[in-house]
Amino acid sequence: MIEKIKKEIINSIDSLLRYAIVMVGNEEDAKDLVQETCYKALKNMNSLDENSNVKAWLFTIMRNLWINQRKRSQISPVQLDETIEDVCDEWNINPEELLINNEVRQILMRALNELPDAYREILVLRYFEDFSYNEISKILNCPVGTVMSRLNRAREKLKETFLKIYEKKQ
Amino acid sequence: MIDHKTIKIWINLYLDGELAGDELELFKQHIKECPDCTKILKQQRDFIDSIRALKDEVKIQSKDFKTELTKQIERFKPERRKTIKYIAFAGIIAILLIITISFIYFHSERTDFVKIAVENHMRQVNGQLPLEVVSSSETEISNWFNGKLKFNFRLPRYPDPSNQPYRIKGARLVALNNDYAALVSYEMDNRPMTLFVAPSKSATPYGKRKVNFKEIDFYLDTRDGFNILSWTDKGLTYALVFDFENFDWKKPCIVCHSQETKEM
Ligand SMILES: [Zn+2]
Repeated sequence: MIEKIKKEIINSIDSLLRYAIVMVGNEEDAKDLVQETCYKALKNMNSLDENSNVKAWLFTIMRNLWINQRKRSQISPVQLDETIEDVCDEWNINPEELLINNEVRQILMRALNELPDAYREILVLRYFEDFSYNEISKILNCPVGTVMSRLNRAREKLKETFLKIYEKKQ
Repeated sequence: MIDHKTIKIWINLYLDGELAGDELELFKQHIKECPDCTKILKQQRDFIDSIRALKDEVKIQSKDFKTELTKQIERFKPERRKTIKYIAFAGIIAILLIITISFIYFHSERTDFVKIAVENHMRQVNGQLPLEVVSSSETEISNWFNGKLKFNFRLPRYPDPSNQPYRIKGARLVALNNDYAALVSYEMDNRPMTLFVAPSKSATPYGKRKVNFKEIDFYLDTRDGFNILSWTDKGLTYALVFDFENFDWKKPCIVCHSQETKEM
């Protein structure tokens, strides 16, 4: 059982690092955060049972550590932009093109990085790590309904931010 | 018939794998019959695939980090009751070994680094060198030093913060050879401990006893009732000053400079 959990922790290092770097923004702090997360997880392994979702649990631990750190360094809390202009549904860039077109990919990445933390975070959990709404609601400690609406806003905001940068460049 | 507003919401749920049962059936049926919604579905799918494609865009140099962390996880043993003092001490040194360095030309004669370290320690303890940054957070201290020194150093977090046997109190700059060096103040078992860091071009470790571990020479000395452990690594010289009794010199070096996290 312990060995199994350890293995799952090791297998999650890449995902944790990716989430950490996107949220924290710099590599050294991200590594610190991941290391701390793993130690905290190891110490609390006995709180898990056979059916626990170890990966989601690790993300929960890391997120809490990160929030505490931010409190410590007194960064102002996340401001969510609740009013989003009605963006058109148009998305005329297909993913194959995105893979080839480095510039477009960079712009989308930039748009993602410019989003408020809460939006960036939920997009990463859903589309990089493939967590379900239910898992995300546990990690973020909020109802599934909130996951749904925040994810909607996050997607729209990303599209909007992307198009702003993209159109300026055209 | 379902209205198009609902369908729009369902498109996202569908793409996220969250649509099930009757709703899923109704949705599929509608998509089959409605070209407008089919088009929106395709565009939205493209958009989401584009987001997914960003995953590989997040690049991080992590091979060494991963290897080391994996080793630590594999070695971890759940029951760890005995917290031994020297491990705490080793923790600090281990932490400093991860320091990243880019040091810049330093042009001064060498001074008695160990003597200055002891003087700084005493002055710190006596309140003559007040801390310029008061914090127990390694990140905050590292950030504070950023840009203030001609060399970079950061203090990564103690591996297991809830069991951290020492406390960081804060830090300040101190003068050394017409330039600045770093002084970090710690507390362990209610006893003060300071760490003095300077580029090795202007600071030489010194001590009556020398112990070599992992290709690093550690110098051990006592002066004015203080213990001083000094060493040079990757262009920086360190001196740790403290007054704990009965300290076993050898063990901490083995533990941390072999980068092992033994049973705590
Ligand atoms: Zn339709």
